[in-house]
Amino acid sequence: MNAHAANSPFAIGSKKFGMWLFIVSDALTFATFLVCYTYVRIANPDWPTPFDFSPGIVYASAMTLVLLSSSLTMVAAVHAMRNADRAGTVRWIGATMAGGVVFVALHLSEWLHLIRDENVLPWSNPWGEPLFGATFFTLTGLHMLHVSAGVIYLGVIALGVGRSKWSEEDVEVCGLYWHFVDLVWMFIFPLVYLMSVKP
Amino acid sequence: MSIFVRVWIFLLALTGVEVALAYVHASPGVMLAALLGLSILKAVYIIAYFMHMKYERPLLKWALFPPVILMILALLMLLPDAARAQCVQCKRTAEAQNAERGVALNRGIVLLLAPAMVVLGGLALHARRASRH
Repeated sequence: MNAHAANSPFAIGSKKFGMWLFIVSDALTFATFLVCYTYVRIANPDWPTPFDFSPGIVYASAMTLVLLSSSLTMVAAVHAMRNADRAGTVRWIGATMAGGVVFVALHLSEWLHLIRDENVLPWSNPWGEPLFGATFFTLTGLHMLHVSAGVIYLGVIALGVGRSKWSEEDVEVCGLYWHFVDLVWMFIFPLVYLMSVKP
Repeated sequence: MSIFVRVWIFLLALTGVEVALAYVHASPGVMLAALLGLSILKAVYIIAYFMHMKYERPLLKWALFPPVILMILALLMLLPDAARAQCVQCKRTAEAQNAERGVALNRGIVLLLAPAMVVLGGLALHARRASRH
């Protein structure tokens, strides 16, 4: 805890509080999209179920594993920074970024599979349910944007930590953002993928 | 550090349960309830441990979470309306059957509700336990 955090009624610094406020508002953005999607999913008995066990569900499960593991390496990065181990912090943040890059790569290949092989586009698909593509690409696209932004954010923090810039709080705050992105995926994966597995 | 590894393993196990559930092929409503229950449980663990909320002051929790939960509950109020679109067909079929079958159908509905309620009940119990220490 840094000096000015002691004076805060929440016992945390203003950067960390600011990130929490951002997370709360971003959570509502995702919640709105997820509820909209769930509404049209439940209201439509003929909703398309295009996700094969392989590659669809296997890929999405692997992405969940990668994202959860990158959360664990982020925890390790915050831990290392607390012990003033800057080299270790940079290494762990690097591992977290690698997880993010693998996630985006897997996700993009899965998008390409849907677009090329299954002919699913944001505005049309073979099942005549344009809402499927609209909700799928909006939800997963917004999440992918968050992961990509997170990788850049982590990169900026890692570069600074290597040059003796940034404090323990800065690493913790970017960790909060990363865990939040992980958390959102914990809702997108079951609601979008597992609700639409090919029977 | 070991507690975080344990949480990570627990979250992976819950993900495994979710994937297995996807192949049970229950009705969309039941699936939604079960998957949402498990996902909320996962979210609670991510927030409590990875995001360190367990170790923050109660005041911060009270400032951040009730508004989000209320907002999300307000959004969820729309969902029963979505389920009604399918219920109309369901209700007509049920009404066309005789009384005995109606009783069996009602039992079936209660049985299907049980897993979802168990998951939510477990979640509530866990929240109560976690708030004690």
